[in-house]
Amino acid sequence: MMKLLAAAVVAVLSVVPVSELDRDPDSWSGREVTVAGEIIGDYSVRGDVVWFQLNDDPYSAVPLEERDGPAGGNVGIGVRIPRELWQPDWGGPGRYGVRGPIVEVTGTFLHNSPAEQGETFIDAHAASLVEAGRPIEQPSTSPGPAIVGVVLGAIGIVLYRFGRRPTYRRV
Amino acid sequence: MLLQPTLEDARRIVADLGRVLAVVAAAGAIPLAWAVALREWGPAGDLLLMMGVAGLLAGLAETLAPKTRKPPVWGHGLIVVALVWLVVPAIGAIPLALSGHYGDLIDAYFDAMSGITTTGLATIQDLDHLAASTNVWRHTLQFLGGQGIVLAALVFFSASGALSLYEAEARDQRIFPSVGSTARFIWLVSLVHGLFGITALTIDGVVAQGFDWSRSLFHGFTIFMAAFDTGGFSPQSTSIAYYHSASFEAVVGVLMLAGAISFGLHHAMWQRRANLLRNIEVRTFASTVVVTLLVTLTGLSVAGIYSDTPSLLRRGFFQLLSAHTGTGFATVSSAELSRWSGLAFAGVTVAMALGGMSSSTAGGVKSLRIGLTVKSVLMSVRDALSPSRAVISRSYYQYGRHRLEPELANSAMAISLLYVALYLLGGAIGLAYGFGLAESLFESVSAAAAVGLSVGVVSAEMPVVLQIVMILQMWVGRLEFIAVFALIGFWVSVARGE
Repeated sequence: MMKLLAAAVVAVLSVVPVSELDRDPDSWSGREVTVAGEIIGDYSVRGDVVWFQLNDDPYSAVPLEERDGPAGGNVGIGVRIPRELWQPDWGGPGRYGVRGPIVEVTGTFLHNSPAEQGETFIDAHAASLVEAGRPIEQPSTSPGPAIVGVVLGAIGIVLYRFGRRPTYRRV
Repeated sequence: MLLQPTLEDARRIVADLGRVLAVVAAAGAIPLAWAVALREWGPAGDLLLMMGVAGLLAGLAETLAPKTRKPPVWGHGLIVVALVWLVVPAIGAIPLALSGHYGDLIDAYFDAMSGITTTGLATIQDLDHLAASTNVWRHTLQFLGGQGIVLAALVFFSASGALSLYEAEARDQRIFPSVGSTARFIWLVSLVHGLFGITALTIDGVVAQGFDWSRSLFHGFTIFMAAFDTGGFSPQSTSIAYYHSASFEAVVGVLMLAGAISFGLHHAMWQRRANLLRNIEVRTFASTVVVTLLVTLTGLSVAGIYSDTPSLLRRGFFQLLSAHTGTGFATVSSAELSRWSGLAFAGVTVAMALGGMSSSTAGGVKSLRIGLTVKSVLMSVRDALSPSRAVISRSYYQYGRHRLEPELANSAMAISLLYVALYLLGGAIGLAYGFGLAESLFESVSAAAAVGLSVGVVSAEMPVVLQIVMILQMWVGRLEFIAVFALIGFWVSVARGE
């Protein structure tokens, strides 16, 4: 039991925040790292590999809609994994209304890699699902703004139609 | 002495402002259609509210329109344009502010101003989870701004003082005798490039990147609008680095270049009478691109940022082109860009400051002014070194040979100096807030020249005063000073009552 706990602690401690890779990329370049975060945007399936963006910002822990307010910009890194490691049942990547799957990837951090014409990314050889993707409950979508907008627009059209339209000559 | 504006003048200004707002309301239909297709009902409501507010104001303005047919004075167009570029971001910020992705209203207004002026700096938070329709609205703002929002109104309305409105929006080339025809041509050029750009980017997304069709179309549509209008907004937080694709970058590069070329040159090239090698603007633009590129690549090479030539060329060239065309797309992170110290940093900063061609969607000092200023200085030197009886030819070539009048040279030099002052002013305020000299100047130039590259100063946490200064820099820089001076003069004369 203690061994398992120790292994879990070591696993958590060995996860490197992307901000740390960003802060000092040269010292991390070429080293094996483990990064955990939310897959966002798209899966870019290219032959034998899949590229995706992995964000480990505050929104990967608690989505914006479930917070009191925004908590800063996004922080993430591109990840390339062999196609056989990618599991379609992880769920769709994070977008509006979707919290993407939380995964942990392990691989080599490459900064300005010559092999990829200067790309900075993690060339992963292991990936595991921590939490599957899920829909994000949207705050109640009140029809209020839409109704007000339609009424204001209708008044605007009436005013425009019966307004004192001047006649100008074409230039 | 300034002329005291009459009530009739004010009514005419309000009426023209209303017509532009009618165009903004109509433009909201683009993201609204996106919202309906994707069932994004919350953002759809926010967009409808924005369209309603713009429509109501347009209707109210129309009721105030003057009955007179008295021709407007020249300053009228300048004042309308200066006001339009303050009011439209306020209306355009409504869906942004309601999205929940902004800390406060100033952040939303900052991004709307950044969009409409095609700058591309952003204070949005959690962009990666923003609704697609709200994202499309951000990019539509850039497209409207790049085309010239007043120009859009000229296509649909036969506005009063069309010529003064057209020229006030920092466009000094009429391609056709009629301003309306010129406006329609500019939109035609954009639509043709749009057809090519969206198709190429969408196909690249599907074939080279393995995206599905609908997402490829979304990326293609938004990136086209930001690239051709040299805006620089991106649907993902990592900008063009998100795509990890050389072919995608190549298409974006072509679109950025097309956006930075003057619409007059587009017309001349379509007519096959461009005479590119003699055109002063083309020569200046090409020269400054080559020089700043060499400086940047040398700097990167000396600093050892990239260990191989292909990486150096791909990253260096894209970043430089993005800076010089005023687009602001990035294939490296802000943190990485801030490590481009020394010559590379200077090369990119100078490229941003110089900007694209006049009557294009790019910002900055503009190649024509630089070319005319340099030519004028060289002629003065030649004049001084030549015998007193020598006749020095004072002319330049741009779609024909023109005499370089002293007034034109002085005007080009004066506006260039005003830009330098605007860059330094923003840099000084950044310094006052404790940012470094290089980064303060970089961000200041990026805002005033409508570029959008950032080394991290611009963020949701930036000081409010610096944020307001940058809003003003974007506004003044996009309108190239004169319209802003006219608006200030208008208010001074109203206040003085004379």
